[in-house]
Amino acid sequence: MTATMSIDEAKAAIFGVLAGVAPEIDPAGVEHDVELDEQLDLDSMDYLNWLIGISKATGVEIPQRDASEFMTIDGAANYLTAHAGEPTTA
Amino acid sequence: MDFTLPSLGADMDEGALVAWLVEPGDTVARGQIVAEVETDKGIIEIECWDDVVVEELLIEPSDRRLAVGTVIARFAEAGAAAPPDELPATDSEPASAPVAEEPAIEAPVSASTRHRTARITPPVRHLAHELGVDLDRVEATGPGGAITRDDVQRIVRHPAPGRAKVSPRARRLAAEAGIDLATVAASRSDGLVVAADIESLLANAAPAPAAEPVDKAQAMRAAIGRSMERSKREIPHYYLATTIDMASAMQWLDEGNDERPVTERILPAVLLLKATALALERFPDLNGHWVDGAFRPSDEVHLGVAVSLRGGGLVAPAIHDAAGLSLSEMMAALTDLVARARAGRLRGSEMTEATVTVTNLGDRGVEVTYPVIVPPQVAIVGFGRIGDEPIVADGELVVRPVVHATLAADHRVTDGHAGGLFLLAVKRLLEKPEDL
Repeated sequence: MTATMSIDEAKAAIFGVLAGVAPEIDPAGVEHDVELDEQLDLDSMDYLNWLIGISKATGVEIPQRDASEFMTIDGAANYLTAHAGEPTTA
Repeated sequence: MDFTLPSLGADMDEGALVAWLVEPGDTVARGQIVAEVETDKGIIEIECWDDVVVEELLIEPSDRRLAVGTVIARFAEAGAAAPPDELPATDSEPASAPVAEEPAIEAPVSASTRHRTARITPPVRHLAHELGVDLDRVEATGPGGAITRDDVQRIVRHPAPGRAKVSPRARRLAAEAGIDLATVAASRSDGLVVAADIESLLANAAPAPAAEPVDKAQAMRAAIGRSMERSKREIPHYYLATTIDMASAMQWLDEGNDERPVTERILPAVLLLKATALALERFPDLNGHWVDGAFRPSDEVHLGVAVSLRGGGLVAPAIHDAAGLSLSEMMAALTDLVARARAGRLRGSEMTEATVTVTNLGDRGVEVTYPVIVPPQVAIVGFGRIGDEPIVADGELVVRPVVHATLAADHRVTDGHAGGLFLLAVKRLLEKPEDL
């Protein structure tokens, strides 16, 4: 993974994983600044699978305490760009 | 031995053979998936519960709906056939499948066999229940003295001397249609082949009607409807509820998850499932099946988990031997089960062996569920969302995360007293999560 990540790259990863977790979702209909649980029918398993997929796709660790940053698409993208390239403990 | 289309779940009595995953000559280890069958609840992978060699595949894959019990292949017992090294190699045998020369009775081929009694696997016990066969009457021919499916089916096909096994009308119909009676499975619990069995076979052998396309969502809705209609018609439900303080459990879980990478994180639902499974071990009258007018408790807790499907519909496949799983194992099992349920890749044993079901609608914001028992089970446990509510603890009004747990149970088997004690056990377990 590159040491830096643009917002566009982050969102590409975010939506790429989302398409795998919930194929029925139309990305064009997702509002980036609205909490996902208010607009998408994702359960806690879907949400966790989304976090796992994003972490694997980007190499960015997502500790439990930071999961709240991933309530919106914008929040997730900002988190990924801020933490891309950080050393992982895995 | 005949290999028949197995039971596919409550109120699903037919399916279409989509694909064979074995070929004649293949060695099949107990628990191996041998075929895929399309049902109203998606594709189900059919396991074989004996160590066998495939002799002949009798049915070609097609859209034609086959009745449960239809003979679809002939297998030979592994020991009775040519040694595996003389058989043609195929690509269809998974490399990881346990090989036949391993001591079959000890082979860890299925979670469902983990804590079974030494001589009867749960699927065989279930089959015997379904067919009304007294296992004490069955002669065991399996490895290590195990009773096999074929042993059970033999009792049905070949009842004790002196009892008629084919009705005169069935015999006449079979002769007229040129049907070999040895290929006909009896639908009656006493093993008598009746005219309806022959007619059913003829109906299923007929070409599929030039049909309107089957709407899969409608078919699933109809299957759910049949099951729930039967439940509400046959099962005298009673309902109980309790409120569980989840403060300790959530704190304990959060602390653990803080240390875990995201790939190993455990969902709160797993605590609810594990507490339910452990409590059920203490209340066996809530765990089992109502078959032929009597309750048959299960030695193991095979926890059916209600999984909503994308685009609508619902399945409740089983996590086998749930009480024996660690939280991490339970999380892995749940993740796998939900993924395969939504991909339409469940296994036959998962669809038929649940001994109780848990439904958790908390993610949808539901506070309290009033669930409907899945026949032939006798209980279902429901959980709502885990959310902050004012409760009284230690004599003070406090706001804490709580969950409302409900039990719907069958009054033919238990009363509210036992159900209440069960819910209390779930509550105690969740209030002391380190014991889970």
